[in-house]
Amino acid sequence: MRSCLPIRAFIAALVGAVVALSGAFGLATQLHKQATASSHEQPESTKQVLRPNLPPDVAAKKGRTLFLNGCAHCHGEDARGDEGPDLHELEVSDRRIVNVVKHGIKGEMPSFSKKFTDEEVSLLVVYLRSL
Amino acid sequence: MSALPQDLWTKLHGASTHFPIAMILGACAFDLLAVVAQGTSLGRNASIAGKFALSLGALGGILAVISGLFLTKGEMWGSGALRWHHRFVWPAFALMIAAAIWRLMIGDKLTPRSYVAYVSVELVLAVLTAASGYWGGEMLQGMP
Repeated sequence: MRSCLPIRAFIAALVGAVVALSGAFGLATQLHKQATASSHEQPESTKQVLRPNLPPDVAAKKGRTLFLNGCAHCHGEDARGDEGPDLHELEVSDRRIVNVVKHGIKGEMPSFSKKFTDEEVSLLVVYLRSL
Repeated sequence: MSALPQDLWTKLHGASTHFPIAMILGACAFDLLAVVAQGTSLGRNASIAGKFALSLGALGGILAVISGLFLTKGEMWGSGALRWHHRFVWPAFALMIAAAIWRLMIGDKLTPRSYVAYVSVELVLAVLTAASGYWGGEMLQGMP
């Protein structure tokens, strides 16, 4: 019985590690779902999300220039993230993107309301949607 | 679920990560000493200290992981420094839980050979933990 102890301990350790990682993954999934859902419920301070009066490819190109000047520093030139998160395939509404750019996120991202006009923010949204 | 304000999660994560880092590095040092001084009372005491330090570190690690997940709103991978942080955190987390369970089950029935193997695993764990701590610090203090 004694000789079985190291094997039993090894199996228990393996199971413990799997349970711990699965638990972390489960909690992460739950939190991610919750964050994604609540991102659509943020108070709307921008009454209407502007739509740029430009062809989508032109608007995206202009948005890309604005992104490089104002956002790439934290989100990376390819928007794959650096200090800030990856912005590809965002699972939030346009309204939410506008709100975050204009008002920032407390403790995480500054407000860009003074740097970008409403029209420029709408160009950024088009660019981000093109990623 | 994440009712606490975001900056409180930041503080909680910061407060809860240093404890397991210290415990794991300490456990590694104690167990190294126990291997070197095997058969002496110093070695036995160091072994006991190593066992409890790792167990407490693993418990602290669970709290650190939970607070980290709340802080990042469930981000398990991320990008940039966060991704590097996670590259080391997840293996370290799995290894610390596994090592703590194994050690608590084995108790004092460690053979000299298995003790050396265990300390080798602990050294890997210490490197992973230190690296994840380094990248965690880079997110807060690193150059933009």
